[in-house]
Amino acid sequence: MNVGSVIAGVVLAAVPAVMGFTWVGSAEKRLEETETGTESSDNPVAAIAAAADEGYCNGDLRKILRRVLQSCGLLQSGEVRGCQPVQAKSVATMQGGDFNALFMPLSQRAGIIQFEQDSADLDAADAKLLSEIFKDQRGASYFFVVARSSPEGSVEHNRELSQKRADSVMAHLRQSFNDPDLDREVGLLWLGEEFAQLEQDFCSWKRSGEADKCKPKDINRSAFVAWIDCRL
Amino acid sequence: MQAQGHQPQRIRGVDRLSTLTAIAAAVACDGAATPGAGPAPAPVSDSAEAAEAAEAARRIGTCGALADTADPQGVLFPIDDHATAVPAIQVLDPMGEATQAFEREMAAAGLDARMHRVGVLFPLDYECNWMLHQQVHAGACALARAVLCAHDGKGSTTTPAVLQWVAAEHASLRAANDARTVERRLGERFPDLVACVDSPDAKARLNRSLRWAIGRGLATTVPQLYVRGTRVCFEEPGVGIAAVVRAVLDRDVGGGA
Repeated sequence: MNVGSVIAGVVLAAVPAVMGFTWVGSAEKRLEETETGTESSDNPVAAIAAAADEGYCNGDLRKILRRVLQSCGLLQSGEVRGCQPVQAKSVATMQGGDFNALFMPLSQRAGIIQFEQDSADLDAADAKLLSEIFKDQRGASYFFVVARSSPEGSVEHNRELSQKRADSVMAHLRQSFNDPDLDREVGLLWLGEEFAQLEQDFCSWKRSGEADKCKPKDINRSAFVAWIDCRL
Repeated sequence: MQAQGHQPQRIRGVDRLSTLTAIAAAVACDGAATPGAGPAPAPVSDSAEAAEAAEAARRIGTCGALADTADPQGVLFPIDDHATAVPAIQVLDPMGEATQAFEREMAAAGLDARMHRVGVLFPLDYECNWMLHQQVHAGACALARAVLCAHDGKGSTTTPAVLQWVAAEHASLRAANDARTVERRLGERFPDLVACVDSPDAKARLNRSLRWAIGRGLATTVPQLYVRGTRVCFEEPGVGIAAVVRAVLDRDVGGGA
């Protein structure tokens, strides 16, 4: 066997092996890129699973969220206590319109549960909308319930009524969902008639009330409910 | 899960030995070599195997652990019925190439029978997984919901039936790269699950799986395997995945991982 034959044999034997190494190597690289949630190969360390933190979580919203959750007892004790109007006003330190504006980016996430006058009972349509919104948690960490009342009646009565509406929402969630995190997720506010009444801008949002039932008094006999996709 | 004909092993951490095996398979599939005509694969020496096993054993416990394996929301589902085998939790996306390759390698090495695995679904599909900002596995969310629906008895289909179908159809499902196509084919194959797969309840149920991963600070990588809570090291190159899993299981038999 001459030297030329030996070299040719070695080269022929080596070619498929080299091609194989290259092919497998590129397959591995592709796999590294496609089987992780990392967005870029610039960061070889896999990301850690985390709750959502969407672009609308601006400084003001985060501040309100933190203050309200602290005032409601949620962040300290992990238990729902709820915020009364005077607490909500003091923690918000802003006008009602500005407070409501913070929630405008939630138009596709939120719902308005409309109650009958002087009632805190959920009817079938209310329960359906509430469940539908609660099931759509995605990556959100907190569920806000902001209950209100229309101005008829005394201020004190309306405070109590809005608290009952918030409690009614919470009771439905507790009854319908076996969610052990419920008490760490749900923040309750009841505003009565005193703060941040909803304007008719909100009539186009998902509501449980009839389509033509959206005068200011109608839409404020309500509980605004939404998952908030912000981390604190 | 069903193995696919001529595909070499495509798993993170593929070592030199298994790469050689893969090359032999690839060459044979491509028809570049015919039986008896080409060079025989190099024999695997005992010392190389011993070195690999030693390295695999050294890595045990170096990739972290699950601090909390509790499942208060019922997100875990059994992957097999090997109730007396070593308990393990697997994070998986049945639409993922690596998840499927992992299954094939475990089956080929006989390691699947040594574990009793429960799964937690982590689909890399931005339709339901907010942690992604670009699509990775289109249709993975619907498939994951089908697995959960089958597990919950929402139809006559069983969980293994769904997983076996995904394994068999994986290549064409991935090639479609379209969530609606995956959903349509899923519905054609398992019509009894369609209503459940589309339901808000199933979406909420899958969401809890993702949140289970958040609660434990898991990496957004699939697959992951935790044997008795200890993460099996897949990522580092140099040792084959089967060797790493075998080392963990051998250690378990010998007195706990």
